[in-house]
Amino acid sequence: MAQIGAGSLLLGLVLAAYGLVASIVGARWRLAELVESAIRAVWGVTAFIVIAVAALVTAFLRHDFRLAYVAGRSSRDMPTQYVLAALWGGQEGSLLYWTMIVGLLGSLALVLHRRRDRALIPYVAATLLSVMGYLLVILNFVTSPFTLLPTTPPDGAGLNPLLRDPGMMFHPPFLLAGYASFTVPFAFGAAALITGRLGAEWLRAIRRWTLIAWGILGTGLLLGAWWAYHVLGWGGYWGWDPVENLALLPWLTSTAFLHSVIVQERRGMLKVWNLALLLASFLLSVFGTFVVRSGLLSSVHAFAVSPIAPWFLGYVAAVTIIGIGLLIYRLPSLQSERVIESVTSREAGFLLNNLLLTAMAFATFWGTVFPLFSEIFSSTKLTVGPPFYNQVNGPLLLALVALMGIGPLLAWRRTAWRPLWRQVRWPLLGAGLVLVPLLALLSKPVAAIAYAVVAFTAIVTLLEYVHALLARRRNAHESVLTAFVHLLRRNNRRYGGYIVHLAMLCIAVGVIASNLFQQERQFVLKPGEQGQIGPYTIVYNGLQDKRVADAEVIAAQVSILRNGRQQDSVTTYRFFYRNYEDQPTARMGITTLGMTDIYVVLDRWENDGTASLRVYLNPLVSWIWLGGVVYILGTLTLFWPQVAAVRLPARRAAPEPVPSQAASS
Amino acid sequence: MRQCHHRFLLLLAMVVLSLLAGHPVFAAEGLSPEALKIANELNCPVCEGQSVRDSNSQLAGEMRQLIQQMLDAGQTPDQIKAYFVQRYGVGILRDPPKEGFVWTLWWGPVVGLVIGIAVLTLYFQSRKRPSAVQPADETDLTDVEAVAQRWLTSE
Repeated sequence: MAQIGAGSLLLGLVLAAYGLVASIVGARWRLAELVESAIRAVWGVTAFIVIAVAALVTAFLRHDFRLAYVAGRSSRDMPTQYVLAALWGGQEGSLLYWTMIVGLLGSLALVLHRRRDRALIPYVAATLLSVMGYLLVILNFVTSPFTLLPTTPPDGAGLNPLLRDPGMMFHPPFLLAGYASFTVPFAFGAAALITGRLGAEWLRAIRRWTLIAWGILGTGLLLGAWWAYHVLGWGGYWGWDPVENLALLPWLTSTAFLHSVIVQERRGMLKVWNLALLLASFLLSVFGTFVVRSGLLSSVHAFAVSPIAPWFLGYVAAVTIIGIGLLIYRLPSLQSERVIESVTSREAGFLLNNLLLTAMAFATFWGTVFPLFSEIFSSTKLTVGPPFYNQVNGPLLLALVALMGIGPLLAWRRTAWRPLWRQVRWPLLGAGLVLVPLLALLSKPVAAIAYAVVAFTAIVTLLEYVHALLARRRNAHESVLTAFVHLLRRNNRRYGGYIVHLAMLCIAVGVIASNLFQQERQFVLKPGEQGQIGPYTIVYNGLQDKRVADAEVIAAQVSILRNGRQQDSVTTYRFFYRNYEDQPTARMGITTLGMTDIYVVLDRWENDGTASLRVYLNPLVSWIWLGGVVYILGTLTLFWPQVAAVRLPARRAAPEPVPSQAASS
Repeated sequence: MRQCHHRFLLLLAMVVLSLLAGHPVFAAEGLSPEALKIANELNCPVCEGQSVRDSNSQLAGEMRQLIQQMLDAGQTPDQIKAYFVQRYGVGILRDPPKEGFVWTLWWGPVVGLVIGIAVLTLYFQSRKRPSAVQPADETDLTDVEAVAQRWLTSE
């Protein structure tokens, strides 16, 4: 298997090199056969990478411990699903998987756009091949997944215990795929810059592929939050860990891109800015991938320090220089076709959205790399933790939520104040109705204000649906459900986008509550003893010590009572995996009563069964997971096949109420 | 034979010991909410990104106990935090005082935001003038269509 894998990686590299030359020569001297052959080279390289992945998976399933990668990350007694997940359990496998995703999505993009975007295709292929080729150089000569051990061990070391969780079956592949898929829009952007064909036609392709990458990365982030909540045991879902931060960055910049690209489509503005965002998203993805595995920044995710650091830093630097150079070279053809006329216009709203999102991205990046600076320029070793991010990003996020409400009400070019006021007065009233009782009820005024802002935006968004649905009902006498489906079909960019907005609001509700109103207590209990947290009584029922195939499991059973009546019981686990006894992992006992999560962590225990338990009350965390599901569904509606008329550039389907004028009818 | 028996017992003892060795086998004494609050303001020195309150590491557990003991001995939260700063440096604090080099951390995003706003303002300023003569374009047509549609459907 090792020979097959290593051989196909080498062949892939050779083919990538050929394809790169063929695409550039073919494009330069307009040789259609060479371009065609370069496209086939992309498919061929992808096929070789798929073969290599298949070889590695087979080696894992056969427990072929001659391979260092297999021996280092799996063992005979591991359950099969984790043996498969071990593919992305280390640096070499992750990079191989990354390259495969680039190849698969890139090949698909070439199939779909081969005829329509003929002029761009050679350079799209060239960019894809250069990215894949570079990774293949690393996979062949720097850190190969098919390196053989001098002597074959009888059994492997097993997977890092943190990775042995159902969440890890899905979180890393989604996150890595999200990172990798930013290569496709980047390839289109690079092709547009190189050819100078910067008209409207390339935008559609880029927007779609960015949307795909953005959806996959967002899903990966949500799965990561879910995994952290269930396994890491600090009572939270987001720790502002360097790796989490870096994964958030391309998501933030691509969110900014997906909004500002609308301005470019409709008004022909912000061209340079959009390309810069595209470039930044790709570079941050590469940077994120590399930091996960390199140990450059200390993090719960860094499993090893590796020799690839100079390779990746060099790549990021080179692409940055080339990208900015190309942007400057093409500046003359990237002039705005129109201008912004008023601060109260839709385009100004999108600009503000971009300002807030990039400010968040910048602050997060700043905090993440600050420990490096602090070690270089000052003697103090600092850790930048949640207090910094919460205090800086919190207000920015709140402003963004408010803008999410106001933005859709603004008209293109300029908005008159009177109709705008008529549109916001009811949502404002609703926000007031939320604000006053919450100010009285909640101990923290910040929370009341935050919820009022969320309520305002939620009402605006829901009213947008109501207006549109009523118009359709009057017009076509449709039922609410049919009208809703037609609305999404005819204008999914607007109404599907609103679904994603609602998902964000849902997540915001959970984030605000769980950040500001988390309660925690720590108890030391003998079996049968109890402790009190908030309105709940925790009864500790004792420990169990079990052996499963590859681990020893300690389980503490806890009953939860309220007003003397049993509500539920949870079990909280500690795992000691063979070969990793010094790295015990955990699975929390979590149950949701009403809208509050009761979250039980087993800290320590004695032989007589006395246990030290940490218990958290996390309000409204389930809203975050609900929001996550809505986010995924909303993103999927954005790919709903469109009615042909909507495909016309710079035009929308007619029955869309433009809000600012709506009130004047 | 006797020797053999001995060996077996030794082996058994070693197996038991090795099973126990990996585990934190002592439960700690209970922590007061005040101790947890202080623990949440300190970084766990061995596990990046988690507070002493939330970390599962051995060291964090010992630090939690130490905090409780110091509280019981009558020390104030500020004294306890000062003790840890003296031992581990200012980096142990999750929210270090905004002075000296830490100051740079907080001003970075502010400077970034100010630059962003300045660039946007300049952008608006430089683009404002020609707008008066700008002709209607297809965006306006779409808007007109939409108004017409609203008007028709509301009848």
